[in-house]
Amino acid sequence: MAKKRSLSTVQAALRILAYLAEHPEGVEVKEVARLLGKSLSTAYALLNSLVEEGFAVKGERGYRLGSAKPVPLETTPLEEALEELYLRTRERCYLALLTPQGVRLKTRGRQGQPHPLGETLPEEAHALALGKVLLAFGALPLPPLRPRTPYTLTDPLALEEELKRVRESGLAAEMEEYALGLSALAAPLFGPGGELLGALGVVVPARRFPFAFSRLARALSEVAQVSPYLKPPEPPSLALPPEAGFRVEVMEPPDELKEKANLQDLAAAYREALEDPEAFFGAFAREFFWERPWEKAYDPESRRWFQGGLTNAALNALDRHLPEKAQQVALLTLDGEGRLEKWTYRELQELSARLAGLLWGLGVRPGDRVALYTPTGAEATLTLLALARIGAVHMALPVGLGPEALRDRLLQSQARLLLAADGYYRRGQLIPLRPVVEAAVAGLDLPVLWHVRGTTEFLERASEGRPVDPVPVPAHHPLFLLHTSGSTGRPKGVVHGHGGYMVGVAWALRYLFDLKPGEVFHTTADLFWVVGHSFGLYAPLFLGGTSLLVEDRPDHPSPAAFYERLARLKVDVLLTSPTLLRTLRRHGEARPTGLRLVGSVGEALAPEVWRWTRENLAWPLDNWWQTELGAPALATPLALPAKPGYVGVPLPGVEARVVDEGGQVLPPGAKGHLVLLRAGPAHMVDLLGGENPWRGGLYWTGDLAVMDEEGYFRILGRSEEVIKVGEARLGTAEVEAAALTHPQVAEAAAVGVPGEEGEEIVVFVVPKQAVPEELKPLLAEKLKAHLLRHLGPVTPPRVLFAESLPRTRSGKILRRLLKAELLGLDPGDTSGLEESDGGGKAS
Amino acid sequence: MAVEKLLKAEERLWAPEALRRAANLKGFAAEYRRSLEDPEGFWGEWAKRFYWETPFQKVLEWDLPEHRWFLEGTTNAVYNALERNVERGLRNKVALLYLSEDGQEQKLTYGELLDRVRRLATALKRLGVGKGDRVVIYMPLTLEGVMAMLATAYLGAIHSVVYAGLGVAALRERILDAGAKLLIAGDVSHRRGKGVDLRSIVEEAIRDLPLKVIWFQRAYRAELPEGHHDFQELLWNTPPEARAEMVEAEHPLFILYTSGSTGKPKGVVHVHGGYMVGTTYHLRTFFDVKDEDVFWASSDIGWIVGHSYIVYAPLLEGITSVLREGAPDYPDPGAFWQVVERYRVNVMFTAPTAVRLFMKYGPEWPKRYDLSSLRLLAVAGEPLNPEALRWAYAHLVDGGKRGFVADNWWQTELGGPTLGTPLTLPAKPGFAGVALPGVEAAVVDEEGKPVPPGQGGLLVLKRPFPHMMRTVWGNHERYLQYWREVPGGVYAAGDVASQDEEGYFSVLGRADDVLNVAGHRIGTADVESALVSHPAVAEAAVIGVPDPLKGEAIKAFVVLRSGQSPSEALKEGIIQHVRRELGPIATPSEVVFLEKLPKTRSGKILRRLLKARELGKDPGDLSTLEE
Repeated sequence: MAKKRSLSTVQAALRILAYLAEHPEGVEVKEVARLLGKSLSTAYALLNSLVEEGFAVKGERGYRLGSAKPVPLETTPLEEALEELYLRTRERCYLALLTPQGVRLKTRGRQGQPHPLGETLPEEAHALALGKVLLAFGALPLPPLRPRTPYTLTDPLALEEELKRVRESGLAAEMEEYALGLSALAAPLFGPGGELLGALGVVVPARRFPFAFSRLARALSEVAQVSPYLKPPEPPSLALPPEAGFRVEVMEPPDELKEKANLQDLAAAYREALEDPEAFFGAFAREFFWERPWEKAYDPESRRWFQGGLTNAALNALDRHLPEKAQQVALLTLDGEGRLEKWTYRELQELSARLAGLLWGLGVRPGDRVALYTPTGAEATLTLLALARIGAVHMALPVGLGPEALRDRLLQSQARLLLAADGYYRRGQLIPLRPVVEAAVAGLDLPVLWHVRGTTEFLERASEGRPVDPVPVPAHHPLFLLHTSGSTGRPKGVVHGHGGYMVGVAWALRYLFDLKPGEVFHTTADLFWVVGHSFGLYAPLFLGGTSLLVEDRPDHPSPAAFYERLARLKVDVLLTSPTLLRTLRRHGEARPTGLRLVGSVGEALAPEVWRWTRENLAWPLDNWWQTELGAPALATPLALPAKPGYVGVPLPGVEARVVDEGGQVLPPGAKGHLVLLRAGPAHMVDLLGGENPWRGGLYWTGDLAVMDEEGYFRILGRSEEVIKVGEARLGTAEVEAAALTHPQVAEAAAVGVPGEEGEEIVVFVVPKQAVPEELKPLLAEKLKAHLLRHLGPVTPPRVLFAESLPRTRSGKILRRLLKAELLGLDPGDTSGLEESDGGGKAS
Repeated sequence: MAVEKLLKAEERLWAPEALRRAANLKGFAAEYRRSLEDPEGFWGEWAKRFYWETPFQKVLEWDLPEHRWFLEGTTNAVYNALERNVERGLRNKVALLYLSEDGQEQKLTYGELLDRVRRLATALKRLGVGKGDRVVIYMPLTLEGVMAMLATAYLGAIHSVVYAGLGVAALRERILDAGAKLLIAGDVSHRRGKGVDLRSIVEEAIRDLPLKVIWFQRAYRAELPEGHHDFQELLWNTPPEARAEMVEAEHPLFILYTSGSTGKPKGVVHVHGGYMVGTTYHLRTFFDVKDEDVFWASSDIGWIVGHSYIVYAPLLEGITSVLREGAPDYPDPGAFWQVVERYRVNVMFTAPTAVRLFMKYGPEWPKRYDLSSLRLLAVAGEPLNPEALRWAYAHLVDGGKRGFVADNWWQTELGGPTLGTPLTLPAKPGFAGVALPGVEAAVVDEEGKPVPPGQGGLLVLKRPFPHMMRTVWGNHERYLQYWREVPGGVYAAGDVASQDEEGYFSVLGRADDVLNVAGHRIGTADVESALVSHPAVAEAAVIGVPDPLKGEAIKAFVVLRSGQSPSEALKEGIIQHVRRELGPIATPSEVVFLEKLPKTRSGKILRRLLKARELGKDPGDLSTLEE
């Protein structure tokens, strides 16, 4: 990059022309090179361009003067820069001049065509690279942000990001300039006082842009910078902005929600729940029907709840509400074919009692394990309730599980009977399950009871059973077994009991999710996940409420359908996953719904998504728990202000800490392992085939967290997924949350791979809108700088683009799969992997 | 013989002890006494269960034949049925359960019904419907039919439902008489597995009328002319913005047309306040409905039973109400009992004609189903003959071990049960029952003098009750006639009845030229004018002849125009013509061609003579007969 040129291209060209005029017999390339003191190739290029424009002709004996008269060259330095750029690039070049009359456009091109837009910039200047430069340096007011092409930025936030980048790099790019099939690069031209004089740009057909990009960028920045009046722009800065790292906002819930909240005094409740569980949870438990009361509400030794009590979850879900709620709708089911059905408490009670009779007739007895391989819907619900009614243990297996994984789990759990559907709907398609089931049970002594889709056979058969009464069972008698979704390894079987689980989930629904009588609750989680069990089925029925269950993906066929469903069925409280919220956010503005609250569970809810949810749907209720815990453990109830990014505080009955590897409690602000000292009543009663999370009196959640001074917890990701960059320890959620604050990022997954300083961060990014291949390097650079601003001084992360992220069927990102792929390793057990579509289920 | 007759008279059918003990109204006699001694206190107390925007100052202003209730009170019956119930926690309770013949169900909760009604009301408002405007509804028995009624009344507009089975002439006449601003019509109704075309009837009936129409289209979506709208499109494209219009208690809620002997149908007017209070009182006390019951009135929204006991009273009380479209014996004679079993119907209200139909098919049909939920079977519409009562008692309520059969008598004009057998009293075959609370009934002669027990006379009511008609639409004079027909300032029901010593009434039949076919009142004049509108017919007369199923069937005597000769084809043509004009229920089952009709000297047709001939009875005094 020459600071002072010996000869400008224009001067060089003029000298060549003069020389040609002197030598009408013809001139060789090497003569010209010698004349100019430049290389042969430069001379060749200059001559070629003169020939192209008719100033010179190439004859047998070299170059001669052409017939065209040299255009009188304008002499202003800016126009000279335009000429210079043209000669360097041989592409169409434009100059935007700021004049008192407005912006004037000048063109220099092979055929000398004027700019197709005329002499001035269009109103939507932000759709042009030149316009972006003028906008970035304040020469234009912000125009109306109308899309001109699919790539035009219309989001003010995104545009601001882009302009900031232009200011930093001194270069603006536009992929498809003003829908003309052109791509452009532009740079600012400054006057001696640092004032903006105009912008210089180069335009090529969009299809050539990726290949021409580096060449053009170099030429443009050189020409712009070497212009005698230009001062070099500030180099792009990686210095941290004042608000480095995680920005904490404190958001007060709307007064109306707060004032009417079912739980008003959280502090008192928390205190009482720990000091006197008998009084606190006992009082709540007495709302339920107990065949025999418990002896002790909580025994800290055995960590058992309601010991000695006899009850039954199905009885409390159904019979307890009769006859008062006989005609109330307990369940709304929407199957994959779009059929909406309403089931009253009386219908559910009667049908499940009859189905229980049928199952009893098939030899199912209390304590027997019965497997289900049935999609979310009435049949599955009735079966779960029927099994609970006779004290049998239901084991719902996620549909979509492959034959081997299914067989594995059936064997591991010694199921006595399998209830299977012969198909399920995903995105409007009926996916057959019969071959999977037949392959899985081949050779096993396991009877299968089929639900044939599209028929009422199953329900008819159920209704022929002789109704049986609920069987009272001890509080810790197993109600169900669920395999955890296995985001980090081999699945384990979590067992929940009747008594404590009932009290725990019902408490959470009323006091955390704040459900009021007469409201409709909906969770987008499938019935066969713990969220579906606890909040799709049991808790709403325990409280005598109304729950909506949907078989197909919530956003099928479109997010609009989801909003429409919420509005039409008048859902008041929604419990969903950050995955779905991100998907919705990616589709832009939400349609109006009647939602009052939106619970989010399954992964960390990034502040950006939190804010989007609050602005577009309803007040978000972030909460954290695990299959083992049955119900939320950390959350932000309405009684507290929310801190987006922080999941919240321990709920009554739960004690949580952040500790180091040795179990030593760490001070607020320090990253460490999240452990529980005590878990709520919905805590599991047994665990099959896994390591007991309780070690040394602590429940090791496997998550990394940080607690602030006020006792709010922020989940940073799984501890086995922690990324060690130099001295820093970064949770995956931390990095992902930072990536998500960028307006163009829809989803992100971070993993650590071995690098120069310990580990290197690799961030997989799903952009909000498809990014053309050519623009990816630019966006990646942008994101890298963005991440560094948020994460502080670490080795710059690598940014990779993906169309979607691999997820477990319950919606958790399978980071180990991404990592394995990067390192070329064996991905391990992938039975929990979701088909490649980005829909969301919480777990 | 005398002893046998006496024993027969003493036959009493009781409700089971447990049912009587659990009755909502246990002390019937005391309640009845109080209702007459202190009607204002009695009805005023019941009225307090509802929402009044402005509380009423006076319960009753009684200046016979005018009577006005809940004065200065403002309310809205639909607001009370929907908003009030949603607010008291019934949002997710099933309000309406629609069943089709093929067993398809649609449940609508109180919350959903409110939403739909508010959407539709908004749409009606945008079409210019406001307080006091008349909306004619010609809809099959569907949720949408109910929504149409409620949305109209929600705005304080007045609905006039025309049974979607009545023909072109009947529909047109009612539209014109009511001065309708808008028509809400269905394109098809379903019966016996087939679609019954309503569209062509409507199109013909509204020909040349400047009427806006909302079409509820189930068969196919037709290209609609200007000013016509699609029901579903309107419903879902309109936000639920409308608010209930609070109206004076005496503001008309609906007009329901009923046939009279004079030819022109009478538009009976019921009002928001009194109708709401009175019909719900009887739902609770006479039909003994509990909060969690499933209540099924197997009528149609085109009749008063449908208005009071499919729609208003059950919804006002927050009950689950069943509506089933189609024929009671389709797809098989067990169809009704399957519904009772499947949906655990607790209280059912049907017509004697249906009971006789079930009787015809035999007890094996109800026996196949589990009717254990059925506690009370109320029957009204026409006299319930003793055999039918005994059969129902034996086979539908397990011989009184499980439930009770409650006969009752009332009319479109009366809004709700008037005479009846409450379940705490024994049923007596052949007797409808006693006067219910609020009702003072008597049997009198033509001078208004009471007749001794056991003797026939005219049934009259001596005082009004809140849910009694206020006027005849556009013809208050006709309303006054009800009270002037029999001297003494009493309401003449137009029925012949007798009363026994215990106060039980036996209703024997109409005192005028009105036929009662399967519980539907049909004026002979209506049928006759339909007959003579046939180009081949010169004169016509119709009479009712006993029918084992329908109670009464229509027999027509026809004199042909000169040049026309009797033939089977013509007979069929005439029958089809009447069906088209009046609808299937008013279609003659028999047509006889006569040379001429017996007439009085003044030219009035002597139906009495035709009837006597038909039934082989003494025609009585024939002195006025024209030779």
